[in-house]
Amino acid sequence: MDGQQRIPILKVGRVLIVPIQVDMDDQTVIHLQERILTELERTGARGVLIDISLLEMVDSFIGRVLSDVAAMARIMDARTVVVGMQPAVAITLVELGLELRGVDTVLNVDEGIRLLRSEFGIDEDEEGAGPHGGAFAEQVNRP
Amino acid sequence: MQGITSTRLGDIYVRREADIVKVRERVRRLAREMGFDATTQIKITTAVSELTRNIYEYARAGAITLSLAQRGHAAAGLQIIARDDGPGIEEARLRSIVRGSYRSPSGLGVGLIGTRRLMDEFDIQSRAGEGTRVTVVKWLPPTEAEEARSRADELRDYLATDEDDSALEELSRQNRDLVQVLGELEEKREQLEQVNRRLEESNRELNEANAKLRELSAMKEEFLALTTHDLRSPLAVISGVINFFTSGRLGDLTSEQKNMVEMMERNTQNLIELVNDLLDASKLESGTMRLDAASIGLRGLIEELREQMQPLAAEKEIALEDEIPEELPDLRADRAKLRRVLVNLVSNALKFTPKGGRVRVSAAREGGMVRVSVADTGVGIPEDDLKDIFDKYAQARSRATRSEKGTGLGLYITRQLVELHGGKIEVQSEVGKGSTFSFTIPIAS
Repeated sequence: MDGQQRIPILKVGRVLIVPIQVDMDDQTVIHLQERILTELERTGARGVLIDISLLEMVDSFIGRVLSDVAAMARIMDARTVVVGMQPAVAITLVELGLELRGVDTVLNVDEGIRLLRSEFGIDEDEEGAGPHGGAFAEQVNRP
Repeated sequence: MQGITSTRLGDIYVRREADIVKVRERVRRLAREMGFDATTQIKITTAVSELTRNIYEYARAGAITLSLAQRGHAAAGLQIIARDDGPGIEEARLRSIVRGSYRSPSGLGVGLIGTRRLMDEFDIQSRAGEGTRVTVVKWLPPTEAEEARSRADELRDYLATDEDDSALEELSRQNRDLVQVLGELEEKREQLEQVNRRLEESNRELNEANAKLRELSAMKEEFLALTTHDLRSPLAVISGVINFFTSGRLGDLTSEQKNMVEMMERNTQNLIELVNDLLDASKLESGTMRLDAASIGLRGLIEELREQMQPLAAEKEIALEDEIPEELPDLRADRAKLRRVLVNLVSNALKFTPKGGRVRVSAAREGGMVRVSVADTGVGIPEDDLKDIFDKYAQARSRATRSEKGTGLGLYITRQLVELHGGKIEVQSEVGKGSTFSFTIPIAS
């Protein structure tokens, strides 16, 4: 019932990647927010990349939490990028009157990583960075 | 909503947070099944998510009713009614929501307003304290409408096949709730039992400590009785020896020797009084003090007292007066103990009255009792000290009299003796003007 779905948080270099692949209940959303902040502190990551390409609905609650995460991460000296928003979701958000205040959005994970990298001036020596967690994570574990 | 007929397809209950996700999922699938395009599916889902969250946040529980809406001959759409029995919305705020100018103070202010924008029809009915009912409709494009109009039964079945939306699911959900409540109850009961056990334990500890205290107290009394008894015997010997000196039976003393012996005599006398006080106090405490009651004339007793106290009064130039009415009846009292009470009060009065003052003993009948008063023109007693003046060792606690000699047992013993007779003692005093102690003793029947 109230069991929380686990959303993975992957660390790639100095970026945390959070692929959201299911419709989350509120508890899961709040829990995710906490975990992102905890991971930021633990790993000293400078960027958070939240992939919502599979998310089919962003309501005011999720939108608010995304804004909150961005604001909190900023206070912890990290930048947040939301990637892969579906067009229909974007349309809905606008009609809903929700601005994702303080959240940068880009089209896909590649763009997101590039944006975050340029932000911290990290060398871009990886090749073929794909949006899928596992392989990716190994790949960028070099300093 | 005017001109709209609706055919109910199903209800979804909102009881817990997870239900928000369930409603979204269910509505999304129904929207797809009805033929809404992907973007509209998302709009409807988002709107219903807002409505459901409002139910959960403001009312904790409610229901979402999904219906097939029809208007005129062609239009068809999805109608969603969100209702709860929560606190409702007050009128002014409701109006501003309907106008679209409302900003929620809690969130981003998008919930209802956003829902209104996402849907085609919007209606809200709410009264403070009577719950809220929000009705929204999204119309299908004409191409899909016609088919949807004929599919009400099919759509109902479609919703019902979502196994856990049936009445059965509701029942089993209530069952689960019940089991949970039972579990919580059981837990509470266990906690209670635990608290109970702990209470019992501390009770037992308290009892033990109590018994121990009583034992210690008894031991203390016993010790006090024994030691004072043992102290009294050598004191009696010393007192006797001093008598030999003062009586002149051992020959004449030089004036210096005489002075010394007098000093010894005075101090020995003090010691004997002190030991007697202690002994009496311990007897009173242990309840072994017995009264040897007889019929006593107060006048004779006062005469005796006068003789005894006169030297001290004369020394301090204090007028010792008495006023005992002729017709005063005899008292029923233990003579020695009543005398003790009077001696204590009068000597206290003399002690705390400065030179040239006055100490007056008077008596008067008061129903079946006689009230005896000892009034002085002494230093008086501060109000703070008055309340516990009859307590044991009160003198030791009081700053005013600490410099005076005495154990502070005197008034304690006095009160105990008066009460042993069935009387009461009280005191009135004004600092600088004097004090009046008075007590009652029953008259002889």
